[in-house]
Amino acid sequence: MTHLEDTLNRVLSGAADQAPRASAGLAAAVETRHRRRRTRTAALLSAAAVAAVVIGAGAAVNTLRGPAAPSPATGESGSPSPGATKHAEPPADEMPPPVTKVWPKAVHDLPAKLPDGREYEPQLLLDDRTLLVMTTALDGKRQFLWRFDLGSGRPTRIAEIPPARGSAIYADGGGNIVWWASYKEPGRRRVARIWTVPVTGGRPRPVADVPLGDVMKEGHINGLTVADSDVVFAYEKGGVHRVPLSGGRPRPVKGAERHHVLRWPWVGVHRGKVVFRELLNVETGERRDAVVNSGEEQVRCGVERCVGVRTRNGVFATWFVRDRDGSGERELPKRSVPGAEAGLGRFFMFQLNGREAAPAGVALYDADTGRSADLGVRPEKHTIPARVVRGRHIKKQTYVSLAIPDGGDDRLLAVRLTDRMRIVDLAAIE
Amino acid sequence: MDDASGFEGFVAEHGDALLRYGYLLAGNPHDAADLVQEALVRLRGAWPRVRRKDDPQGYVRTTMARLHISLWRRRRRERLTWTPPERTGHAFFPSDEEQGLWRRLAELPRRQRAVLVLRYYEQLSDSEIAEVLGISTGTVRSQAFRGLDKLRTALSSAPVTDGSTR
Repeated sequence: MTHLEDTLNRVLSGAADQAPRASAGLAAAVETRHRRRRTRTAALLSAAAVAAVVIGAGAAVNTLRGPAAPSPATGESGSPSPGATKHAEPPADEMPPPVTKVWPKAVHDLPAKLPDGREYEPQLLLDDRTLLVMTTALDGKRQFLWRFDLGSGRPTRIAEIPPARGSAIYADGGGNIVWWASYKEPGRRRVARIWTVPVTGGRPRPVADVPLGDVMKEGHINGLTVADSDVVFAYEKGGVHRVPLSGGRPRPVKGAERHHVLRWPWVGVHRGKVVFRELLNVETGERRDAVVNSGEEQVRCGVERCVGVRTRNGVFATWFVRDRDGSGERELPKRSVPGAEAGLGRFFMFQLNGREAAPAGVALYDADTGRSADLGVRPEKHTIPARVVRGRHIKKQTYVSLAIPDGGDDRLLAVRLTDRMRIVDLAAIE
Repeated sequence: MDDASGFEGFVAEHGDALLRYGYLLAGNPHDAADLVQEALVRLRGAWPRVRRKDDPQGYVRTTMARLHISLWRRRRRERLTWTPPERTGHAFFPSDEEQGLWRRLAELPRRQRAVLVLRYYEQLSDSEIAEVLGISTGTVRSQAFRGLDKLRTALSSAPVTDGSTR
């Protein structure tokens, strides 16, 4: 191989490590779109909330509301159901009050940049008043971990970390931060190197190299956490392991050979269409299977609750959340965003629409109390200039996008606003 | 029998790998996510047939490569849910040379880029690439040659700063 080919190979492998991850709702989102193309019913179109980044306005919105665009590859053509052709203009949503008014104790507005001018990404809440953040890779080659004191809003630098070539996961536990980064040295197998640094600061130290297989097919590792004095992780394809924080060889966790880490010591497996349907507590041996009924789809479970969609005759009917044992079921707002649960199995985000169904904002919804609040996110307008592609003239296109914040299972909800970073500590909502 | 049987498992198992492949083809996370979702929706439509032939991987990867070099994006109307890699941004590299190469890759015509990704990441032979993209082996070679030529120019003109270029 020439130097160029060798470099190209390295660049492609390195870039692949930085690709986005599939969300748990991917298969469900595909299924929804598949059905929409196939059945083309207006009822199903109302379930169009399959996007974390929603494009609307103008022609795009009309397309979403009208019959679905023809499917170029499948060539399937279902017949429209009666009454699906005409659609009344839906009224604009009523904006709920701002989150700063509804749950003032849970909201912390921080500066958009660190004192050195760098942008950052919130990673996790270490405790009630400490937020761990990392500088973004886009903002300079060197990367740093910082923590914010939410009480005073004061940032403190923790450490510079080796360029996290590849993905990195941060986890807390007993004052230690851990993460991993992917490395490939010539002639050697690719490894996921686990690193650690104390929350109080210091020099990052490698813990262990985890050998990886064909990462294109089998993926890397995830689910890092610190348990006692070990780092726990799982292979993306399944299989929980632990390695001493002081270093050593990773060894498999008994009984969790095919499992993924949900929230230590809870590990689980996905079954059929249900994410984390079966759970095992590896410390106590307790098992928890989730109740799932026929006609339910996109079901995704946490330690206590499951979220999913109920269909009627194959058509989207409602979003629900309930306890794993099937009790305490509640319906969620229709435009809840799948895969963007805000956290703790209790909070959800849904899109707010303005006139002509254009996206207008994002609401945070508390399924326990039924209260909603406006997170403050507003749509952005984009214009793609007219251009000629392969001899075809393409007209100027405009669209509006709404950036729905990163959800997750934990207590942190980070909302990037134009001039500041809004942190919502879901655990602080009573 | 449910015609979706096994599809969800396939997505769960291969979703991340497909996003990696899509990211290399498209060069950015948004388009990668679109590419994967569109290809998966098409795979889903053809699932009962493809499953029987037992090569859904080949089907979806071929669809992605062909979609990438076609004009499918004009039809795009919605976006997929995707999780950024541990909440970081776009790809970055330790050396200017690598960073420059990644940027230059993004500027290549789609077909040239697809040929290079299939050859140097997927490690496919030229005849396999020809089959995936539905073009002749001669075209694969000429596209690869032109693509590499452009990258070579980029490599030789990469700025050298603070000794970080290797």
